[in-house]
Amino acid sequence: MELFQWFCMGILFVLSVAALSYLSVVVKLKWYTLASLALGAFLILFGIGWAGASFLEGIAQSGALALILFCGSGVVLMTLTWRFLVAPELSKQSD
Amino acid sequence: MNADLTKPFPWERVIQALAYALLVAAFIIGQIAARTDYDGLLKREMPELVLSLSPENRELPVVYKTEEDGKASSDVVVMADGEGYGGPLVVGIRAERTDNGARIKEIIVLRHKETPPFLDRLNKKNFFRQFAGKDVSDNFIAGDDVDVISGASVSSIGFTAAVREAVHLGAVQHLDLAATWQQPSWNIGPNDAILVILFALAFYAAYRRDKAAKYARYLVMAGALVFVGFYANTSISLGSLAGIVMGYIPPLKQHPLWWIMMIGVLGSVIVLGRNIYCQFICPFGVVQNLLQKISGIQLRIKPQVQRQARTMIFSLSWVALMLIFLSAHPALGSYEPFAMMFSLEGLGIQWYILPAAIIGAFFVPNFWCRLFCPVGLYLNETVRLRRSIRSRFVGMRNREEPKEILNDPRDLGA
Repeated sequence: MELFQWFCMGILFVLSVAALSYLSVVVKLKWYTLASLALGAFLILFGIGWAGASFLEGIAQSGALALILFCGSGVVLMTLTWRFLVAPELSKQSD
Repeated sequence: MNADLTKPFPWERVIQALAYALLVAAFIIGQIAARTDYDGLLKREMPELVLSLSPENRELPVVYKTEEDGKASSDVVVMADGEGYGGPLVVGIRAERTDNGARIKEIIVLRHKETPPFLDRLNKKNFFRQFAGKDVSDNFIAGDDVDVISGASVSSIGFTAAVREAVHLGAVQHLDLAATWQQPSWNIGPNDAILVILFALAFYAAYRRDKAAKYARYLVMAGALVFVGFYANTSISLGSLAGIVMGYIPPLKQHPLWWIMMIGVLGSVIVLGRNIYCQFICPFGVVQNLLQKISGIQLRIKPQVQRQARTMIFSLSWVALMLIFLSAHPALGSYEPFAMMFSLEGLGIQWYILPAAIIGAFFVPNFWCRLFCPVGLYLNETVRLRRSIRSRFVGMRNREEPKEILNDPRDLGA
């Protein structure tokens, strides 16, 4: 189960790197936009890794808090970056 | 006799009736099983003592005389009950006689209905140890000569009340001491005033449409998050409602905050026909709204999915109620993550539910309320029932036709 978790994490990591690379090609983004998207993705992956390990070890409290604190912060960061930095650039380009 | 074979068999009604019957049966079995063998409990906790029931008190609080090594001991054991946050609790108090009266040696919790993390907190903070060495004629008033443990204040007050009642009774009846101790005063403070103000603002915001009502709404939401959520942590859960059904009602003098909350919530539902709690006071609802404001993502739930969710909430809450009634312990069946969201204290499954509820609320407006919340569903159902009764008896059918309610605070709030 643990191996499967790390395998999934690896796939998610590769997918997130690919998605960010694709985004940087499709739309011209400032360095801090990419940095905050990357940080958001890292936080989400870190939270999933932490929570998965905690749930497997049976420490549900630690897993839940990791999901809320790390994944939650990552999701918030990525969403805000998308709303205020990426989406305006995309609409500018489409105009 | 011709049976109408074209009519489908009413399976839904049969299942509903069976579900209600099982709930009633679980309640009765739970109440019968909850009758505790106090003698057995005490003997298990104090195996070194030979206990004999004092003839003066055979109902709680009861007093036991003790023997050690075949000789009558100067120790007495008093057993008494009190009201905690989750329900009734029973404590055993071992005291030793002194020249002037008696002193407490130890306190043992024999039975309780508290959420386990609250009792763990009391044990960790050595709440019960502070009673050792106290004279039986002390006041035993929480917040005065007994320290209240923050985060478990209602439990602290409940245990203190049980100890006070027991030792003072023992002091009067067995030691012939005069009652020189103070009686506890009403436990009303600024917290109660804040909750009353919050409800007043919520009613104002609900019934007025002016600019002040808008500000009142923001104030209530901030107050609900900070005060009802983080500070007092008095969110209503399925356990709170089931506790009322089981008669676990804390004394008004001891826990006025609970009374204000219940009168405000149930009063608004029954008297005014509005679910003020879900719309304004629920701190978890405020958290969901905040997450929605941040994300700006509003994924829609199809009405048929929400109808299925309604059935799912009934099923989940039925299982939870069965557990609560069978165990006669309100905290054991509650699956809502409210309390743990604000105090970070919870039971197993709640830890898995909390992150799902929080992250879901980021994408779907009122995610928990619409898909999982039993409190919202039951409050809304009560509002619907009230409207239905009102239409039938007051002749308002044309004005207020009860509509289908999909467990969204916005359905019955506005």
